[in-house]
Amino acid sequence: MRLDLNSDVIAAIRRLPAVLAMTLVAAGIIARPAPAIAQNLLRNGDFSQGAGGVPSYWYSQDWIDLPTTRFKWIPPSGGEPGTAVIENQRENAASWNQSVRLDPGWYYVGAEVRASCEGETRLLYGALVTLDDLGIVSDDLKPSEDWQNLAFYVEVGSGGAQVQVGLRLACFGGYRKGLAQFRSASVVKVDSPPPGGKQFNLDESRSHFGGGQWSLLLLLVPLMIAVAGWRILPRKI
Amino acid sequence: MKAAAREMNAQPTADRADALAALGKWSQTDTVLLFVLFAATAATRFWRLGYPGEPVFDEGNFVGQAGTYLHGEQYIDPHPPFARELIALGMWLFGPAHPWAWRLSNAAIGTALAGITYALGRRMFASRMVGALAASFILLDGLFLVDSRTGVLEIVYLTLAAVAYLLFFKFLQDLNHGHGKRTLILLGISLGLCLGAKLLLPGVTFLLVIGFLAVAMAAQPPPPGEARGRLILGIWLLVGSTATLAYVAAFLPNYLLLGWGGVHALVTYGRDVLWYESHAQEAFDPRSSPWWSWPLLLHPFIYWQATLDSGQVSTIWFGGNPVLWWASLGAICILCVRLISRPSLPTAFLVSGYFSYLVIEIPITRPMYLYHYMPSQYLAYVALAVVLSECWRGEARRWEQALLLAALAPSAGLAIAGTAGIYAAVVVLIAICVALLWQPRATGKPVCVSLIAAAIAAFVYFFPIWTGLPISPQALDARLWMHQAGVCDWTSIRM
Repeated sequence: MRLDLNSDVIAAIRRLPAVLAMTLVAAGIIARPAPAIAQNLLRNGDFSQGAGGVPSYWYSQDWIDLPTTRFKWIPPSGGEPGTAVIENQRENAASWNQSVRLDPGWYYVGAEVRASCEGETRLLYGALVTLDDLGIVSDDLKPSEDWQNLAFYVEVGSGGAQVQVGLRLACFGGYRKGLAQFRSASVVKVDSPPPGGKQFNLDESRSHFGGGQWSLLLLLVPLMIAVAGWRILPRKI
Repeated sequence: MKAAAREMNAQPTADRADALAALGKWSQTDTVLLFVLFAATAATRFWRLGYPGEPVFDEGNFVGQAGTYLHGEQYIDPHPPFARELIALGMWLFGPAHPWAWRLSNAAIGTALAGITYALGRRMFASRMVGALAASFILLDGLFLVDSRTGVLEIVYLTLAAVAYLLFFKFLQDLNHGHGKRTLILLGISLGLCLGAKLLLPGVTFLLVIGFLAVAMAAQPPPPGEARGRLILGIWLLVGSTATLAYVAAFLPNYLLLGWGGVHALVTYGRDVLWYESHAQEAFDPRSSPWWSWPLLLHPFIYWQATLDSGQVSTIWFGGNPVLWWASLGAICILCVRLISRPSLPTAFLVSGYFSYLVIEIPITRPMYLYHYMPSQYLAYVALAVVLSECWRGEARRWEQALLLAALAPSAGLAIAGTAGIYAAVVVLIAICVALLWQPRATGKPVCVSLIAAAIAAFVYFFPIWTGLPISPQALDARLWMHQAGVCDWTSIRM
């Protein structure tokens, strides 16, 4: 039996490999990953979610547990983003915190902040972005009513690290009453810090009071000296 | 016993043990005296301890740093940690939210200081009266009261220094009784913890005690068959190394709770201290004052203040009891003269200690505060107790009595203020001269009674502004006697 094929069909069959190849190329183009968009590693960094006055994934912490220190969350409304607030009627240091796991590399850590401390005069700063590691802290705010960006860059060494990001109210001196507002907090991986950006090395910070615990064996030296002193002295002194 | 006590200043150290033996072992009288002192001191230290319910003065720093032990969070501070750890202990036991919890350890230590001072005065001068008076002055002074009611560092190292002084004299007086080594170990521990409670000033305590140990041992005949140099070496090694171990032990919670790694951490801490000290030069604080102003009580300042809804003012003022303060300066002058005419080890210890603590501050250019004078003032109060007890026994000379009573003149003058105050001061001085010239032999007891009565009156008068009791702004203003521009100002507050 002879199969009679229309010449158009035959031509179409002949073009099929080329069509398939083009389709694959097109699919490949469509399926190619988009250019990397910086991912905020903080959960709910925009303070869009929360309940009971507390933004989701964030926890509050203060140096001294005073009832005069209040933590609030203001949900987004009217086009304004959500805000995390710390209000202090008495001298205290308080912060909103979130724990984040960081892989090795450089990170941008920052937030939009505005703050004021109330004393004999009004002081338009008193807030910081920090990691709960020794000395890793943003610059102070400049005195202003406007929202300002507080940020720094931190390098995480091989092995990565778990860090606590802190958004801190810090009214010191005679300024007892203070209010700090935070929004758009972010921790973003970057290739390298820009020139002039405030930079820290996490490992250096964490090893500030480090050292091998074996070195505590050096304390045997004063112990031996004490024994020597004991033996030098007569029994009945 | 009276004769023994009278003579002891002229006796070499070894004989002081005999004088102490003449006074007798610890008796029921001592126990009753100690109980009364403890009860009175505790009442002033623990009463309304939780007020105010917020950090006062440096509590904002020290209580916050103490709280890091509960959170396991690192901090940097130039002062070693022992005093902060005691604050943290109260917070851990009773909860960090209670202000009385973070002040509890200091209140207990401040109360203990009165008892330790009694034992020290009794032992140094073989006199219950010296002990009781010295302890009473600690009880009646504002600086010791305020710092016992606040979560700051001073009262801890001062108390440990007092323990070290006590153990030092115990060692000397119990020499060759067989307990010496144990006493030296306890002395080393107290010195080490003292060093672990505050930067710099406890170093003077250490050098003072170590130095006087050598001096005292050099003056003693060594036990048969023992070389003097070898004895001193053994004492130094035992005390020095025990103090080192106790000092490092003060950092133990940093290792256990804050992740400190090894000896390198202590080296890093030392580097941080140097960095802090070099950067603190630039700071300015209106509450700071030069060292020479401290013995004259020219620049006390306000720790904390709040205006209440009723319009009354609640203030915690960091100032001394002016009557006792100025009288103790006179007592130090008297002991300086006596050191030349009738030298003795306890007198030399008091005078050397007083000036050592003061002189060490002179080269420091960063802001300094009245509380840096507290170790000197502590020894000055023991000196005042010595001179007053001699006054009571009729052994003080006329000029000595006049100098003691002269302390009342500025107090009277400043309390009344203005021209009337100047007249009052002059009248007091004339009255003192007349009294001393009229009855030169029988003035000892009246001098003592006058001074102590005035000190108690000053204590009652200033008590509200040492403890934050609400008073009217006028009543506060009446108590802040000096408010000139510059150093002579009792009203400085944190800006």
